[in-house]
Amino acid sequence: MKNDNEAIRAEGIVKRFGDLTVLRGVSLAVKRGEVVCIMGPSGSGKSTLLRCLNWLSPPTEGTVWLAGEVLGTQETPNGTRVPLPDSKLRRQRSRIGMVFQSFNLWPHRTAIGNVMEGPMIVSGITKSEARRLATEILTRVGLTEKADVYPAKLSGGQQQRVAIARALAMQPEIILFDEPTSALDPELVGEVLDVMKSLATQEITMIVVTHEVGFAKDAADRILFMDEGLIVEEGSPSEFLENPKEERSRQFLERYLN
Amino acid sequence: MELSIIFKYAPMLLQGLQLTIIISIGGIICSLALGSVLVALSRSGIRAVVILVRVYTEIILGIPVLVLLYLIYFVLPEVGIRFSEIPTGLLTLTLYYSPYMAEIIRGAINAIPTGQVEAARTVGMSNFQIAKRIMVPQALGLAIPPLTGICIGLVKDSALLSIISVHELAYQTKQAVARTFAPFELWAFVAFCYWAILSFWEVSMRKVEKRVTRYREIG
Ligand SMILES: Nc1ncnc2c1ncn2[C@@H]1O[C@H](COP(=O)(O)OP(=O)(O)OP(=O)(O)O)[C@@H](O)[C@H]1O
Ligand SMILES: [Mg+2]
Repeated sequence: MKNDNEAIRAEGIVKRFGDLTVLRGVSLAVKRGEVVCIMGPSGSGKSTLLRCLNWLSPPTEGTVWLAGEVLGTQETPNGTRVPLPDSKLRRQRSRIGMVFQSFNLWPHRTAIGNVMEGPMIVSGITKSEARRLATEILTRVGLTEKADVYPAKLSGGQQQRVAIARALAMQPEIILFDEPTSALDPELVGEVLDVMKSLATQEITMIVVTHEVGFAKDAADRILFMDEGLIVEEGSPSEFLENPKEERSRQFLERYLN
Repeated sequence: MELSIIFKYAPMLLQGLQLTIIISIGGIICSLALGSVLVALSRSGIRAVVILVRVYTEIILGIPVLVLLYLIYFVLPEVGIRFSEIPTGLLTLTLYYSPYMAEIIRGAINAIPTGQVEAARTVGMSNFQIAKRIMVPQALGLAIPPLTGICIGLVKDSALLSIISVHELAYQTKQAVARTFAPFELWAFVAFCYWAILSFWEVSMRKVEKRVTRYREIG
């Protein structure tokens, strides 16, 4: 399953919670530098899919490859697959960034503290190096002056930009975004989308669950539409947004495009 | 009212005060430690262990500290387990207060949103790193106010150990009163000592709490 051009690939992802099957065999492949948006109605399994892709919530069935390397499991000499030791899983996870709908910043760390934490604690670089790196990244998301401010004193948009900086600081091969602007007041959505658009042009591989049609149109290379635990349609933004093939996609877009 | 009595018996009372402080600090440290162990055990996921912790907690919550003290001091020796007075006192306070400590620690940990832990995981942090760098610093701020209250209860209950002749402050006072027949001066003075120490403790902890939760300020 080696493909040098591939950032992440998933095949046959099934996720069950008890009797409830949330994902019913999802497959996707994302090339390096590609920006893929995922849309779909509430409860269709978008968040669950992202959480399978970084093993926060390991899939019940299916395989994920990160740059050709199997995620979360390893083969034993007798051919069975077992969970990866925690230290190796952590190293893989650090290569996949994630930005959450509710920011999930660490409130007891300043903006720059949030960004420095991973490089310092996980990558093991020195504090001064981490500070230099974090300062540079905060500049990229336009928050240089807020470096020493605690999250409680930041607006939602600023918090989300810190969260993006925190993900970037690990220099991940791919960043997953789960509705990064859904929790924001409308007037703050733009500043976060602008940062994400600039990342998209910097060849950063992104999978973005979003209902921001404008962002998808401008920044996405491809849109996947999910419903009831399956990817039911896929296409370029113009194909999908202007000419959806599936009835379910059409109904969904009617609600979001008006 | 004869203040000279207090001066005369001051060395004796101070000895008692010293032991009260030592036993209280020892009791607080041991019950915090055992409380942490109880939390760890009840999160271990091993059914038998979880049930055992639950049963222990229920038993302790259902008996007065004085009864626990008598059980350890008078009943355990019957089955061949005998401790001298001070260890008995420490053991009683530790066994009695650890479930309360556990409850406070558990509450503080549960109050930390899981999203923060997930964010730490996606960065690649280990469980230990998450506990140390994300959970503990925040749990501390949440736990300090209830811990302060429970510690005050423990210090006060240490006076019960005078019953089994631990020479702590209340015991020493009783001895002094027996010799002087001046209960008013001595007990008033001792009450003032407890009050002064515990008030100082409470005010200090409020300062500490303010310090470790400064990050929450929005103003
Ligand atoms: N840990 C869990 N345990 C049980 N059920 C879950 C769990 N996580 C998600 N689900 C269920 O899985 C289904 C899909 O949830 P998911 O959060 O992936 O949807 P979504 O597409 O992200 O929706 P939304 O747009 O509302 O965020 C829902 O029915 C949800 O209740
Ligand atoms: Mg979701």
